[in-house]
Amino acid sequence: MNLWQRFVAHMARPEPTTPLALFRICVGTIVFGTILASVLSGGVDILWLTDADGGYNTFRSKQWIVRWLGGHNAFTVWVLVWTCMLSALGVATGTLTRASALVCGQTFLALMSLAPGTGGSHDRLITNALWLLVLIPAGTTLSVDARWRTGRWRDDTPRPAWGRTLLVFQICLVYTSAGLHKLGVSWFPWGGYLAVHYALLDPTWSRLDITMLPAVAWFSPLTRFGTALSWFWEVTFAVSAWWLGTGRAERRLERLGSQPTIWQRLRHPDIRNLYVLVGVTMHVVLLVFMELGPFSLVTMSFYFGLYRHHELVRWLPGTRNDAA
Amino acid sequence: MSHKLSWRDHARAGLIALHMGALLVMCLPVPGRMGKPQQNDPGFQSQLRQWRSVGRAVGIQLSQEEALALVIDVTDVMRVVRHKAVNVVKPYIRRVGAGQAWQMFGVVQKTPARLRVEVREGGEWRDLYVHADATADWNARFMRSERMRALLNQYSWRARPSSYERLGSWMACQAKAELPDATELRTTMEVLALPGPARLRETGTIPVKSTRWERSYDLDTCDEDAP
Repeated sequence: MNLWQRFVAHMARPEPTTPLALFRICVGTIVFGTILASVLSGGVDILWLTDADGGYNTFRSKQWIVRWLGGHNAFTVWVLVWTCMLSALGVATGTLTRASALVCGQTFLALMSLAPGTGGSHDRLITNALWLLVLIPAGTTLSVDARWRTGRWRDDTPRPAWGRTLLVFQICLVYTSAGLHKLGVSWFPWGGYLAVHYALLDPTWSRLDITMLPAVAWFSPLTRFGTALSWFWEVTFAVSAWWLGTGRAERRLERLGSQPTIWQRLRHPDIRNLYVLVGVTMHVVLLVFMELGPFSLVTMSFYFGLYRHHELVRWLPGTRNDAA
Repeated sequence: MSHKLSWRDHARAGLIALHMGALLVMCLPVPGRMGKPQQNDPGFQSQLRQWRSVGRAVGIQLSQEEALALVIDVTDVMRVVRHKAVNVVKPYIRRVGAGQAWQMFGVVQKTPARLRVEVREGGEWRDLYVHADATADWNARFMRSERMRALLNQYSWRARPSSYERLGSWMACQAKAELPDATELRTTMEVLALPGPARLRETGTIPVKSTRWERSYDLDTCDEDAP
């Protein structure tokens, strides 16, 4: 087999789509939550509406859906908000999954066009995730679509595995690119590994009151270690995908046998789990101490792509036997 | 692989490869334009000095001017190359929302700025809102919301000054409606000098280095019909 044939075969190998379904549920819920948060905080009224409708902004979006709905006015903004939230519920529940993801993605893009400067990387990651949900068969199982099609909520019919590969590819791009862009000296030994220290002190991002921020200084060894580790972890994150894609996860399981001891597990660690463990720890710390919107949650949703159906169903209620 | 690969498998893999290729192109680094304000930025100058010292340690001697010229040349080339490559895939990427710019915390600010909003009541100024300060948290649900924080981050990086002024006008009208005794509103960006761990342990405070973007709004000029 040449390289292209191996690539085609890798994309076409069949497997149940549970990882895609879990990713879909998370993304739909996060989009619903982030728009609802904008509604509840007054962000829609103040940031997305124009000065003519009570907002602060004189900017007028020329995005195609905004124009199609009659221009940047209160009616358009609220139609977009409710359509986006409704379609996000469609995504989360797997109702007309691909159509819901398309509507949700396009209305989300339209909303993000209303007030430049009020978004972040999480918005871009969300629109990427929603486009992937248009492409991949994420509504096959754990969805209303599955219920309509088969009469059951679960449908473990194998589908080509390219959907999960695209999730892994996307998250590897995010981390590797983010790592390679970290050129500020505070990420390196000659800058004292102080990037996390300074990031935690920046009142723009910190959840802590400024009177509490000096406490960060007492955790200096931890923040320095976190700086060094997170840079290395981001730049090398693709190793976890290599571990998975080259079948090393399966070979490890074969080597361990049916009832491995803790010592055997430590001697043959699952590299993926190490990367995921560091990632989850890092994102939980970010969630607790820094205000980064839904960035951590949407990023971690992609982690489902690093595991196969039989690895995930062990953790789903009522499906333990299916993993065997 | 148990089944023979069909033309559909090949066609699908081709489309997937195109999608992946487009994402890779969008991931090419996006250096910012190095105009005079960026070149003279103290934070950038400090970064450049430290990278020069790293260069000296490995035998590359460059003056500050030579290093700056090198940065400008490299960023110019990178921008041109990226621009050409991105133009090919941009129509697809823009329509589907698959942009790939992940420069998160690439350079961490050591002198970030935070918003301070004050009102004058009975001739005295008092804090109305100070970002990350629980003692002045007017309209905190909105002011500390994620999207507002994103906007404040732009101001911290000296971006979107006109948006800053519009937001000030909007806050003035809000203050007029909520605080009948207020006559004037003032917004300032307070530049903080973030200390290193040792200095912070010693002093226990984060000092204000300077202020910028001070704007005042006479509440009487706020349109009554405005929100």
